[in-house]
Amino acid sequence: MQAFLKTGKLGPQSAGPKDAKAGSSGAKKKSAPVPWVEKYRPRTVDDVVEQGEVVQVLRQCLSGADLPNLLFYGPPGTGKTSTILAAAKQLFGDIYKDRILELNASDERGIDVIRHKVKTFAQLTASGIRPDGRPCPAFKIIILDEADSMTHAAQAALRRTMEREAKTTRFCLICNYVSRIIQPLTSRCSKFRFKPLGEDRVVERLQFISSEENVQCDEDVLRCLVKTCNGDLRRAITSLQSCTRLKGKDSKITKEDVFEVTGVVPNPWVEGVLQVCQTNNYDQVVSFIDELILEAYSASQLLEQLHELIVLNKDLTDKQKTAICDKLGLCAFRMQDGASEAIGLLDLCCTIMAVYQG
Amino acid sequence: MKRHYSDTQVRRFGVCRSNICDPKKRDDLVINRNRIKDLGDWIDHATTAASVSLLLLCGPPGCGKTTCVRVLAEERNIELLDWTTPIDSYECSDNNEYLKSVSVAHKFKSFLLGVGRYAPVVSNNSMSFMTKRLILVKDFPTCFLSSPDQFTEIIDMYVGHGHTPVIFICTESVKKKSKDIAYELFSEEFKQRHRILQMSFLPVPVTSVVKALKRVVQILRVSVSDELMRDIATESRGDVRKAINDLNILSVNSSQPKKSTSSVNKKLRNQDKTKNSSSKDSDRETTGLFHSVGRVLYAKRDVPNDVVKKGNNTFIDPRGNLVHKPLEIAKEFCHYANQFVSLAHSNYLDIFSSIECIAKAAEYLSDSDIIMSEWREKELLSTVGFSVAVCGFMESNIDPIRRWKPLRGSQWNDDLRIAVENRISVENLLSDYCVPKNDIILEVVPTMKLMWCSRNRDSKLIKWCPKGFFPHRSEELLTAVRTIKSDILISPPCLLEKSRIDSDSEIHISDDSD
Amino acid sequence: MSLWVDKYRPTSLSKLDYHLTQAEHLKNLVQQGDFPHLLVYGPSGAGKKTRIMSLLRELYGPGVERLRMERVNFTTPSNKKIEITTLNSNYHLEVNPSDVGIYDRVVIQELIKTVAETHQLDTAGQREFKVVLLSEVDRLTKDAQHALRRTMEKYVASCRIILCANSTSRVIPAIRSRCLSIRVPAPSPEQIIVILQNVCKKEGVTLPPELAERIASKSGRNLRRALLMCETCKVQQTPMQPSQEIPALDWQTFLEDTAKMVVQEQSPKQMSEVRGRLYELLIHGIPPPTIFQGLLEELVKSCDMQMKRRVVEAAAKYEHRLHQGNKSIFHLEAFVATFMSIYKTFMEEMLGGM
Repeated sequence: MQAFLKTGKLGPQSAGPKDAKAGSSGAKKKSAPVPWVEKYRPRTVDDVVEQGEVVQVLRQCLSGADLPNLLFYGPPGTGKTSTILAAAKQLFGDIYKDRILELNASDERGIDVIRHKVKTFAQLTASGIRPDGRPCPAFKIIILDEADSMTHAAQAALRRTMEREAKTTRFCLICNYVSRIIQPLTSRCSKFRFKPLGEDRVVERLQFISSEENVQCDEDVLRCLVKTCNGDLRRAITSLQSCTRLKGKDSKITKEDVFEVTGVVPNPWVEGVLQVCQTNNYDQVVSFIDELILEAYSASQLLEQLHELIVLNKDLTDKQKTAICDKLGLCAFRMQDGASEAIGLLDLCCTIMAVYQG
Repeated sequence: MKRHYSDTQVRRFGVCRSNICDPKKRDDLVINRNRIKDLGDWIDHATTAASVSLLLLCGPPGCGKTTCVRVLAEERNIELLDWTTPIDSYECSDNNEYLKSVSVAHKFKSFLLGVGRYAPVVSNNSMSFMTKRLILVKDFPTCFLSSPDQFTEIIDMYVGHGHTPVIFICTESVKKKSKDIAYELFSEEFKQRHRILQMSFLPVPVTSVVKALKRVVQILRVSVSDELMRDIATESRGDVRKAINDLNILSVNSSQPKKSTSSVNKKLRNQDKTKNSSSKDSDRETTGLFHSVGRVLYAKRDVPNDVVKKGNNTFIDPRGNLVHKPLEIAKEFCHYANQFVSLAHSNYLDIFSSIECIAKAAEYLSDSDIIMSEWREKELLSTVGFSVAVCGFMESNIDPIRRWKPLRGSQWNDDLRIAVENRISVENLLSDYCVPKNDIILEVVPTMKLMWCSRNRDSKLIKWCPKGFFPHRSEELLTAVRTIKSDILISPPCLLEKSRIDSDSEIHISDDSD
Repeated sequence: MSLWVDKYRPTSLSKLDYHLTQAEHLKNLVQQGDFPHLLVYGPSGAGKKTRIMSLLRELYGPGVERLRMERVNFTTPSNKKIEITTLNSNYHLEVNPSDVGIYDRVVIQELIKTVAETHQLDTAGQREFKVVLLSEVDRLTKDAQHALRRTMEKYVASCRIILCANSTSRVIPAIRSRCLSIRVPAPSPEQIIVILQNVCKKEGVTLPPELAERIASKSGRNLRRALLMCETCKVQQTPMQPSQEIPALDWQTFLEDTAKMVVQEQSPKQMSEVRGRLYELLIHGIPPPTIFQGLLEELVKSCDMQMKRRVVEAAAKYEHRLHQGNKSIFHLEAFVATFMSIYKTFMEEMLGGM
């Protein structure tokens, strides 16, 4: 319950406040289920796993220094949103809800919204004292999550607002790809790159959560989970929760469950692609692909894993790899558009066969 | 062709027709023979049957619907009674919308019931031996469009009382968006209820129009060159009436009907109010859509030798340069891009001589379709896509066949549109099965058919499926599926069976009356 | 009598015939308080819908089977009126938003909003949320998928969404990450045989094992197809014979013949015949991708390895365009023409080399 109050209106997945608002009175009494991602968000800046540089800056700010405009970028699930939220909570304490405005790509975010919503929020005055009498910084924070999906026009509109409201407002832009943010904006912010988390730290965190939630899970299963999630902590936690949901609390989570929930294609299938192509037998390839699709494995996921396998493959020359990856990219692109998986994979396999044949 | 018999609501067609150009005999008709036979069979059946029969005859303007009925009726000595919406009733009514519509509807009703019910008591002319009669309704009173129920009511009443067969003629407008009368007035359900048969005529092919024109030329005793006639015919787009009118006008207005093609085209164009005055060069003068499609498909080139002489600063194609510049054509017709491309598409297979050229052209076509489908830059890209198609056609056609072939419009587009509607209605009909929509068409319907066929070997269904397929005309398909559903799958599937036990729940299945 | 497919469809999680561990998992899911959004995916005829319906029954009891069919009207921002058919019970609502083509976004937003905002008055109701079941999510436009993602977050308190798709490739990652994915693989041929035998036993007919085996292998691990085939066999000949012919569907035969025509002769005239047949297929509602797949399967049979590669390459190219463009006939035709051209050159070289 406490956890859900704290997470408040924050994350996109937050079920909490809406439950309280819309749900019947019965819903309130049952502890509203909170996604673990929200429940185990770091509470303080010091809780943030790794990311030393930005933590240092924020710590200074907590001890009284001014906060610059921030731009966080890095792969998903590395703690970008969590970091700024934790910092805000520490800075403003209980009143942090009034001091931050969080907009993510899920909200309508055209130029008008930037102009009006951001403006009205920015113009609210912020005093330097908390209601409980303790001092706090006299500014507000606007968090723009998934900023790279904003249109360039909207980004340009933001530029002016940022300068005009510099006295009372700090911006924190969060994105995956810094290259999609226009230059004038990046130059107004201090950039921080969030590194992918180290496997050990993620496993540590997952172990902590498992013990809190009474999940029975071996370390090597957790390691496997981290690997399939490519160091994305959020995805790892969500997957862990999904596993528990499916298996029930009492049984142990196995590697198979992890694969199932994350939708990863098991390795034998991925390697099987190369093996079956080496036979140079068209009919075998066709039946292999049919099987794969009937097993309902996602072809685009397979392509991703196959790509990794091919890049790291030691038996292929660079030239061969190029030829395969070229087709791989084309296939992935076509599948995005809805093209048939079977024909796409067949095309790819034919190319690989040709490569093996020289 | 407009009728001005405002006072007489019943017009009698007899031998004393004034228009000498109209076909007199079955052989003069330029309509598909099977269609004529079908229609004739229907008339034979309808005039002898005990119960009243209704027919809905559809087709594009000028394809000879009325003419065909008239000729066939004359052949059989059947008297044709034609309803005409009285014009005067509009004028004399006191501007009251409601009264006006009531009065026209009322007149229509009394016409149908009065004429259709009783055999002629007094024969006022020499045709007294005619006992068989047919009612022709071509001119639907507009008031029915706003209140189709009124129309339905009258027909319901007529079916109960009358015995003279009725043919409703309905002209399909070329524009797909404006729904034509048949769709508004004749709902599927309505057609089902009264077993109204629907027959459709297609636009008349160019060669047949030429045939008709030749006959008219003989009657009028004018001389017109074959080339001119063909131009008129292509220009008419399957509308015989328009073609004959054009011919009439040309032969009356111009002293020399044998004028060159381009001037005819100019005339025809002017009638169509197409803006063409802007271009001065006579070669670039706007020619008809068909004409230009022909130019693109035949991709005429000048002799390479000539080009060599012209100088060497321009790019010289060893095949000879194109006589008509593709980009100019593309620019001229960019507003008709879709029609142009689909017309070219339906004809290029006949004109290209080798499969390699076709493969190339098909690739360009496919390119142009994806360019034109991009909706984000619609304006710009549709022009680009169109140019790709035009250039592609001309570039890839290395050795077009020499002999001239008439261009045809495509009937597939309309069929495809109908197909989509059919699919939705079949899916709705079977939506109480717990099966994804795609699989209804792919698996459930064919399986149902297989089962049904093996149960009733000498069934109607065999007739319904000429090519081993379900018929795709909407009403036939629906009847077929409905019959099968009720015959072999009497009760609906499990979900509904369950709910039948719980009496309080109710299920609405769309239109399961049969 | 109804079709066997419907008659013997299991209605509860405990009665499912295969994927039993998964059924167990689904039961666990229901027993826990927090029911997530689900994404159920698998090939056609694997039993996705059966599982979803069983799951709903587990959630709400037999009340979910009291279905009503309703027509709902919407007005798009551009003032176009659209109508969509929904199948709903007191607890859930099923809709196929791709029915309305590019207006699917409006349907998703409005429909889910309406469902989410009408409170469940049934106080005895076990759940405080309703379920919206969206089928064929992989056919939704990207626009609609983004809208779906927003809607999922917004109404999570009063409404859960179950998505049903054939494959996840076209579902945007943002949706995938917000759902618990349930993979439903096709049943194995052995499982199909067992089910066929069971059904036949219940029907009081004997199914020769050889026939069962043949049906299972011909069905391509599609249980629905297998059951339909089996029932057709029974209708055609009772008692069923081991050597009995399994009738092919009309369009499949037609498609095979069309492919044969392509191989037979490569000329503009033949091309024009083939085009007529392609149109015929389209008019009968056979989806273009299915035509493509069928053609490809037949055509490659008469090619050598090198040609196979070229043909598959061309197929992949034009099949992709099918989804980008509007006029499927252009792309089908381009593929056939390309094949003809490749094949003709090949045959000529063969003859020249001899």
